[in-house]
Amino acid sequence: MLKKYTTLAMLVASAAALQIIESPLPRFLPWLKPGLANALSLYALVKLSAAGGVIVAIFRTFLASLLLGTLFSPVFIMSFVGALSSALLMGLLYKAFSKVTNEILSISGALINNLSQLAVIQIMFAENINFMFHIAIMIWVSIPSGYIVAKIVNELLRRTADA
Amino acid sequence: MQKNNLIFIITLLTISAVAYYFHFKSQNSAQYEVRVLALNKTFFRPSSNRLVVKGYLGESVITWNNNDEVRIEKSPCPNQNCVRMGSCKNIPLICVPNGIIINPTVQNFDAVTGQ
Amino acid sequence: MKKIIITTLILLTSLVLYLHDYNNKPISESRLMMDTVITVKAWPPNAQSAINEAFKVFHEIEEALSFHIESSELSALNTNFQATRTIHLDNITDLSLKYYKITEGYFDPSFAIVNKLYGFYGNIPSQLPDKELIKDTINEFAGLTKVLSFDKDYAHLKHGAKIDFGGIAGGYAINLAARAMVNAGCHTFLIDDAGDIKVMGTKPDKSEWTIAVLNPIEKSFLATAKLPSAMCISTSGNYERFVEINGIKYGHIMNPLTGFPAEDFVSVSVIAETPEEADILSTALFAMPKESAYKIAEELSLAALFLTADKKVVLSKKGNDFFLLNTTK
Repeated sequence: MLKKYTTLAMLVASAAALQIIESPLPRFLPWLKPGLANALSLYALVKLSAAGGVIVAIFRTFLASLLLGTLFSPVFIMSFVGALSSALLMGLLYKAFSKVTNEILSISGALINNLSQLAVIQIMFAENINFMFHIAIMIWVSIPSGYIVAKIVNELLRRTADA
Repeated sequence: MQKNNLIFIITLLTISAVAYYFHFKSQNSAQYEVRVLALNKTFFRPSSNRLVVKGYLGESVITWNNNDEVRIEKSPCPNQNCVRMGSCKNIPLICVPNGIIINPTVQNFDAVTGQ
Repeated sequence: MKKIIITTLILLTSLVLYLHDYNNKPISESRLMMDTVITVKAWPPNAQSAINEAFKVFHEIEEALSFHIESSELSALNTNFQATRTIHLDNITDLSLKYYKITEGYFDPSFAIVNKLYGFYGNIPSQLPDKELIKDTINEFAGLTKVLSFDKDYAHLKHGAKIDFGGIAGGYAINLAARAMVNAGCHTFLIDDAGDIKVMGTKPDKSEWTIAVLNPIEKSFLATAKLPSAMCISTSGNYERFVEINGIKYGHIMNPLTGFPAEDFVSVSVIAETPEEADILSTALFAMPKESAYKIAEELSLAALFLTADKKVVLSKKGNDFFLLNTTK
């Protein structure tokens, strides 16, 4: 039990650190980023439980925003909604399909993360954004970034198999 | 690569292609104005090619160059992502902290009066 | 596995093929003419030849009626106070006299003489022109019916008076250009002379003609106007042409009763059946004080949109049928 909490705390801390490191990187579009922090949600999901993934997602966005000084700003709302929906979808897929691979989980997580952030922009600014264009680009970006994240998670899982 | 992964990726790529096709089609059939949205007010490209709009945090400076590319030149936002995105054409530029959207495909006008 | 790849490939190829099947695009051309940018956009068939015809007309009108070109017929009238009657000069004076009466003198091309006092044609004064001088000038030289007369071959202008058809030449040219384009076999087009716009026909995608009306000062979006085929819209304001005297900007549209720049409105947009009417009435309504402007707009049952100096948007009764206000505020 204690070990589970320690693992979770460590995952939250490193996910927040990753998110902070990622934040100043230049971006082509506002929702386009590597999404490395998502790797730790996925790891928590596979290693611990679906709830673990959601907990990592929620706490890491709070922690990172607190440290970046963007708590409760539009930026926070975007990353919070994105991370949460991605963790929820990955958890759902993991429970529903026994054969689902980490790659599929990670890519669909990245995709839903971007999509929900776009939806937040749409709702917050009540502006009609060209969805077709964004979906096309999102898929192109989500596939490599999700794939890389999945490879990282696989490697993490392999190295911590006995832990 | 596993078979399931491959099927999944190909499905996504197909969806992407279809989405891009619709985007391409909508672009073809319409000429569009660049609109700038700040604090729920809409602005248009001025003839001076330089627009100063007020957002949540302060004033953002938006400029157009001779190739009709638009960029956010100055922004009061802390992360300056929007400024680093540089010049874009046909792609929305969004500055979330300051609440600025530069959207090229929202509404299609045939012409503008009162400029 | 193979099946999936083949299906995807077929899907993609058919998409690409479909993309290329698209050739109903309009041609658009802009030229610097008549002291402004004129844009003509035309849809097939005969789009390019019709556009050429349209610009030919604009060129012809500019040569005939420009205030600035020394060889124009108007310049002859302004410098020699007498000019041979030509078709364009006759047409435009007829139109001017007609609307001079309709607008009760608020549209007055002979008011150029007062604009000259403010320095609109060069030599900006360091002081505002003297009020007495303005009054005397108006009494002496303003009033189109007073200063302009005709005999069989010549148009005569009172000595010392000046006429500028800037407020109507654009609309007149659009009307003739539109006819030339129809004659050239093009039936779907849009002519835009610095915000004085005429639309014609139905676009291939059957969508309505939509014109954006801007707040000219802060460039924000006021309303959209839906125009049926062959209708025109024009917006007048004092924001683009002005002189600066002692750091204060004075616009070019004068209230003919006071001889002072009109200041009740930021801009006035009018939708009408001919470009001349839209052009003239938007200018005339702009020159009026608020109350008269609203009254005349209702009397002539005009579709008009007013942006007042205190930033209020007012629609005339008929304006409600055409203008859709931007309500995202």
